[in-house]
Amino acid sequence: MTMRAQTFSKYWRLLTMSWQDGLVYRMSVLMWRVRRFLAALMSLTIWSTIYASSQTGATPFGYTQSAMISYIFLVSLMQNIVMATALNGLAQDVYTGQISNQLLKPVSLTGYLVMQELADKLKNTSAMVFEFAALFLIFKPELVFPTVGIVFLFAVWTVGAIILNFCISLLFGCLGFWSPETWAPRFLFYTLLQFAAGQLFPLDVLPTLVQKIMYATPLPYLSFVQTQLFLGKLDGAAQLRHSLTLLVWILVLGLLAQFIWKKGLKDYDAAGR
Amino acid sequence: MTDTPLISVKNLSKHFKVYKKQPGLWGSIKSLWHREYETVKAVDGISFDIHEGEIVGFIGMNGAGKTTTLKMLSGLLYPTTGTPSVLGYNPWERKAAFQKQFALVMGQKNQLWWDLPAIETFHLNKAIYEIPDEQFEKTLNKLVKLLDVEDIIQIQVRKLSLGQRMKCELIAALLHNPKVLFLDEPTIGLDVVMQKTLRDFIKAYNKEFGATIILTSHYMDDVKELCERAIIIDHGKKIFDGKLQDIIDKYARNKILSLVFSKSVTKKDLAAFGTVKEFSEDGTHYTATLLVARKEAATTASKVLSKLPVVDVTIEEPPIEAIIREVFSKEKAKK
Amino acid sequence: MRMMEYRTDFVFWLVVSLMWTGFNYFFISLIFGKSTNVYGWSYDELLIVLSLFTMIDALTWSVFYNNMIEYTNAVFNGELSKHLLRPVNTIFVLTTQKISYNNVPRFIIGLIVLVSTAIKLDVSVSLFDLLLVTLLFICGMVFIYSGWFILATLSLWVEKLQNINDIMPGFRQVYQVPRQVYTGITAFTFTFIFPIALITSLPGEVITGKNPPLSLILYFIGATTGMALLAKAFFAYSIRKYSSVGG
Repeated sequence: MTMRAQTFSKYWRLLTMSWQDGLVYRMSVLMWRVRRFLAALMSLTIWSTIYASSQTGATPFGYTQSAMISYIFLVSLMQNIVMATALNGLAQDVYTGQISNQLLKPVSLTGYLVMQELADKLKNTSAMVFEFAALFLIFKPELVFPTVGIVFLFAVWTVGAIILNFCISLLFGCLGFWSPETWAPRFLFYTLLQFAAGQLFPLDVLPTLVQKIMYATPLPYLSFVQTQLFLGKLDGAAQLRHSLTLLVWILVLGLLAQFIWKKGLKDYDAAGR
Repeated sequence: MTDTPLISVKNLSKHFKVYKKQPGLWGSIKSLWHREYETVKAVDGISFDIHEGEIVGFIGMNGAGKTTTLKMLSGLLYPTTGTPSVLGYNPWERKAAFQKQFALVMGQKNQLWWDLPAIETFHLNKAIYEIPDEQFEKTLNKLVKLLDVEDIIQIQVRKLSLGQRMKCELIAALLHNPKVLFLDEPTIGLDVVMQKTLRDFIKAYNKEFGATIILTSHYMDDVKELCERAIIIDHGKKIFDGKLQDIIDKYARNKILSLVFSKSVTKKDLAAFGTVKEFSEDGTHYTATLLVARKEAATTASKVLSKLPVVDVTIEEPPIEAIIREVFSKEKAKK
Repeated sequence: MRMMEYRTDFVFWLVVSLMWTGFNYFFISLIFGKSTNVYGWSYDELLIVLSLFTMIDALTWSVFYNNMIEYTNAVFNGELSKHLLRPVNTIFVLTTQKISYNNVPRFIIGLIVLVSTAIKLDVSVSLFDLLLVTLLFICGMVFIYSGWFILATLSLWVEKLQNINDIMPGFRQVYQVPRQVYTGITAFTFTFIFPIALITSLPGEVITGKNPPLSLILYFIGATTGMALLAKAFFAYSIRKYSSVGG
């Protein structure tokens, strides 16, 4: 009982400190939000225009205007929840030996990173509420709320996407054990992700072959399948299939990250000697 | 009881494979399947025992392997050979019970959260090390008084001076009353007064808590004042282990007299007092350094003062590098 | 060694550039899979705008990004004063230290698509039009530079604004499409208040013979001049404050 309380207070303290640390530079946070907001605003504007200028009632790509706007709205929301991560600098921290601080203390490094990530998510999502309220008022997407069961599954999948992104970030962090070149691979990945996770257009407008390739990667599970679920495009079989795939990806990438971290720590040089 | 060493190291080595990395992204991609490397023996078969309550100084030049040894004793690095035992634990396993009993302070690394006041990190450590409220209050008060930092622990760390920050680093590391303390260059970059303050503090901590301390330093004075025992490491190997005074008596027979004169003196005048190491005059400044016998340093200095037009004089220990070079060359000659 | 590093960097940027460009063109062709005309722009005409965007964006990354980072870093670690002591025009020194050639391939891709599409469309561009396009292109660059510079200069006022340099690139998406995309409040914002939507639209309209209103062209040139002067004044004002604090 007391032990559990101590562990709780340990991680609670980490969470609140990470939160405070993030808020020291309010302007900086604001700038980041401005940028995210602009990205969502642009996507919505462009799609509105495309539909406005095509014949009324036309449904390019099998999406009606309101379906498309709802999609873009949802996917932007998902991107904001899932992609923002506190672990961008992890590889750098590994390379420079900054993680030594956590390794020396009776606290789990993973637990520590999870708290940082959580604080960052809280910060971003609380700012997001206002932004998306504004976007909602401007573009008025028709969001039909699915059944409670689906909403629940949607929430579970969203948490799954966050965990998946966390595992991917951990894997990128491992790079720091062996290479100072930590920025470029990440950048390349996120550039690819912009398209492959369905940020600019729904993946189902792509040729079938391309879609098949996409689904062989974890990328659609970072936001796209969630939006499809919410928009009621997945039947029971698909729901089950995607649930299992998401779970498998988390397990595979999670175990892989754990394995590589163990290996990395043996090669760790704590920066210099 | 005191016969079992607290820290025991046998044949400890750490070899780093240094990849001959091709630079750039492509290079690192290529190195995924093909890499060439060379082995650097940072620590190469070191053995020693340290008993409870000892303060031991690790002396060695840059890259000699001092810090690598400390990092292995802390569980940060995975040894290539040998398993050190600290407090009966294998550090690499990073058991919480072990981590709660030791601390590593690195002069060039900081654990304090840069953008928050130091007190926040103290509270975090309280939670992480599961320090009871009462003990935390007591230790914190004591440390804060000892180091005279009451006013600064509420200020954002990044606004503190290097010396102030180092003091707070020490507090953060000592809040859980570690039995074993590793200090890596704790006084680096600090001014003389601050160095002295920290030294006094370390000594006091050792007395009060009976803590075992290993310290590495560049400054001979640090080691001389704090450590009875010194271990000299060079190129990853231990080349001396024993009383520091022995090394000083044996190898540092001289002290250095630095002199500034008000007007020109001749080299000959100086040679009467000791070996002239440096001598310069440019018409306005006249300076010289003399090597004089350790035991006669004080008397010689006063003689110089009375005979020559001296403006300023200081007596210094020879730099650590000079002593090591001497030890190394003599130990080698013996073999 | 150093050369090697540059080369791998170059390869990396080449890959990213190609991906970016490829995806952008793909996106446009996707839209036009079903409709033939978006707000009066045909597929080929949109390619012209996208090519102009690609060229401007490539130059932005090559010339501005590194330098603005250098500039704000100099503010953070207090090295700005060093530059202020030099006798050369401070702004110039600050923002021309580092030019990377990583994005040159992208610029060339943009230029090739621009020229080939223009030929395909069989547009007739007079010498005057060509000069006007060049002028507008330069205005666009100056406008982005000035806006970015003003933002970066904010770091003299607010503590630690490292990500200030992400803001201007955040606006890139706005001038990736013609100004007609915007309606209502966004149109007013991006064509009048902060006319970044004009950066690629105006030269694009000149090339495709859409004859943009002269008043709008004059307005953009005026706005750019104003922005540049504002950047200069804001810098001078900020520096005065900075120097007095830094002592």
